[in-house]
Amino acid sequence: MKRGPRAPWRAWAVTVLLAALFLFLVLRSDWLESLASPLLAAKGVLVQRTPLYVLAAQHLVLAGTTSLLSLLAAMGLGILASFPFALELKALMIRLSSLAETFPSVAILALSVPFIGYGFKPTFLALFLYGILPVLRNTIVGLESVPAEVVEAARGMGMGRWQRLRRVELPLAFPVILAGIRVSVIINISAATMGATVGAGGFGVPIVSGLRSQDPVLILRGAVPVALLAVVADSAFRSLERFRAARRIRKAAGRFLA
Amino acid sequence: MIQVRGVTKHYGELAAVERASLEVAEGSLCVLIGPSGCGKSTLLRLINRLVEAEEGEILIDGRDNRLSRPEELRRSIGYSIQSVGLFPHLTVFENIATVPRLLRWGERRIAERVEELLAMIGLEGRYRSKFPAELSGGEAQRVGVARALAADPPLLLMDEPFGSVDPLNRVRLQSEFLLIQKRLAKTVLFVTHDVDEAVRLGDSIAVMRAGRILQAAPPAELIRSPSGPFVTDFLGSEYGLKLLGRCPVSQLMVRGGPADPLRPRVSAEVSLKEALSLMIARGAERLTVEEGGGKPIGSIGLAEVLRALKEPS
Repeated sequence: MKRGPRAPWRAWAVTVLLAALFLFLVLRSDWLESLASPLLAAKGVLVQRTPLYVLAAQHLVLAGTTSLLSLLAAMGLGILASFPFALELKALMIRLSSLAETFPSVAILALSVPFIGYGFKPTFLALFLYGILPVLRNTIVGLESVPAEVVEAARGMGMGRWQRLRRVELPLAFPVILAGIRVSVIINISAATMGATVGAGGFGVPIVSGLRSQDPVLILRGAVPVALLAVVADSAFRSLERFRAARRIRKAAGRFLA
Repeated sequence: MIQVRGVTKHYGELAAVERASLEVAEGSLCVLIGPSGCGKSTLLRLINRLVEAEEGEILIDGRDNRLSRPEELRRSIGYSIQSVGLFPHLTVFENIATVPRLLRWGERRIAERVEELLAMIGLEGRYRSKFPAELSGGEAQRVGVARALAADPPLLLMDEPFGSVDPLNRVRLQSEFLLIQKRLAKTVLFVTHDVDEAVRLGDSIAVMRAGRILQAAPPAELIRSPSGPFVTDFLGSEYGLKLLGRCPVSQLMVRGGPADPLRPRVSAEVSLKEALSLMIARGAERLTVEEGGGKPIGSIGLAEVLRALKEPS
């Protein structure tokens, strides 16, 4: 019970600090630029700038909604795959997801543009499809890793398939699924940068124009916050994954779902 | 009461259970014993329909077990397994409350029942909010038994419930379980591969081999009239001694009589096996039997011990 009582608290403190730093950067972007300008040759004056908080909002909406949707789709598919009748479906999903990981998300993006045009939509589709994979795989693996005797006990006590899922299998698989969600969210945060190349906005906009105009300060204007955002998300999810936090959540989830 | 009638189950070509018939009387404990892979666990799982029978029928209190939905059937039968299978993400309290929750009992009734069970297995107080990982093997087994008893089912299926604890703790768990069983008088089918455990617990013992039940009888009858050489071999050459372990000295001693001060003394509560062992160790043919307080109340000798196996116990 006494195992590392301060550890989760510290992990959360780090997350909050990082998040504060991110907010500060986004709201006071001039600060970073005035810091970097003397060191690097800035040419930013040539570009009509969108305020950084607008880009941040676009980026967050893009990465956030796609992550949420892919999470729902992936967990649904993962649960479906755990049913005994879906053995072949499961094998297919595992094969497809490892195949798809060798397929760059840029390629999905590029391939979808001819069909649905430029802008938000192709980026959304690419991120949604790509975000499914880690969660789907971890949902399948997590559900498979629930000890057989625990499942046996649940059956023997008279739980139906859904009750077993809700009360036993999902709560036990939750830490593994959570790790998948973390990977998926971080991939989406970084991949959303590419949305700028097809006009979806986000932190990719200053990066792309910075690259085009060979302006390192402009590149940093997008690169630093997006890197920091990924670190914040990673740190937040890792805090969640911490043993005690995860246990508390599992307990809470167990009560909530029961 | 459980009546198994000509039940068969194959796994592929292999017959796990073949035309098995067995009856467990109301309130009695029947031990299913046999070498591993003989189908004893499968037979147990056929009863609560974790496995479906291909042939034959199983009646529970006279009612075919295929008449209710499998989930409902299982909620009405206590089930406890070797690896315990406690839910690692739930506390002891929540684990025990599982079946009552499935049966939609009120929270208050559940809390009362869980406290009652925790008291019965001697794990009161702080144990209720512990997680399975924080329990010792013996404690986890006790919780497993309490969980099986939670909704007060008339029937209990136990698949080597004390299989994964050390021998010393196992004997303690067995005695505790016997006390509980004496009070609750459940109809129990108990699977084990441990002859000592079978002899200690069983009102009757069913010996299985390769999917068939070779013989089902009270423990003493198995030695008096075994159905064949396998039964004798499986029970082992020390089976007679083990049987003595079932019977307390108080049951067969001769009450009263003069208390010879030279005779070794033995407590009335120990088993005949221990009394016999003492006779051998001290070279005495008779022992003085004493009460808990040390007051002599009678005596026991070899003649009484030898009679033990002739009488149905």
